[in-house]
Amino acid sequence: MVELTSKKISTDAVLEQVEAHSTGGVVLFLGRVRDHAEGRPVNKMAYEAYAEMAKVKLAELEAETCQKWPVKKIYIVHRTGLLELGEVSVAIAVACAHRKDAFAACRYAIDRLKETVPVWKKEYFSDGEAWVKGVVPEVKKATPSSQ
Amino acid sequence: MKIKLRFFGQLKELTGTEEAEIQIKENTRVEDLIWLLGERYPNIREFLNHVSFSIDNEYASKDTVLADNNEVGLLPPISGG
Repeated sequence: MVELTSKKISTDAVLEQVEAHSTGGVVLFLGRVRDHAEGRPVNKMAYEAYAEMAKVKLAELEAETCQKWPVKKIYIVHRTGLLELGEVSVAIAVACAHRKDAFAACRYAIDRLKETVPVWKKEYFSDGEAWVKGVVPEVKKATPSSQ
Repeated sequence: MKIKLRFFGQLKELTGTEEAEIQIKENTRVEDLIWLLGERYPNIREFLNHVSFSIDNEYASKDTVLADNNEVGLLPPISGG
């Protein structure tokens, strides 16, 4: 399952989403708001998403990850809105039969999320604010929507 | 025909706009739209070369031909996570 939420992410709730007795290895990745960026103190962070498209891209990411590894359960949630230091901005939980697959799948999911899901973050400093330098998503050649 | 534009991040701030509609001619490609956008929103002109475009929730290449009622997203480099 994938989700975009403006509410606080609870790690207990995230782990509940991947409960299954067939899984012996669960990997949980949390992205949290850090108190510094390139040597500058950060006070808080704002996350903005293109909600409709982000949900599509998160679902594709889920499908892709499950295709590459024997994932039994996966849950990906991304937060939006204004976040305080230490708050969770993204959580990915992957449950597999064995730990090796769970680690690899979770690593893939977070790396790929950063390359494909249309979300933007802005850092707030004591003396200003700045959008975080992002990555340009790759474009597939086929563009069926316009044909 | 017309398409709907969606602005995000810095582009939303610079244009002061989240959504807009724009009239286009048939066979307008994304790269033609970039020119139109530069005319309509001069203060984002310098950013448009670094912007990615989406059409109906899918990333689109610059040679994609737009269709009536497409929703086109103007997407600055993404920074989620």
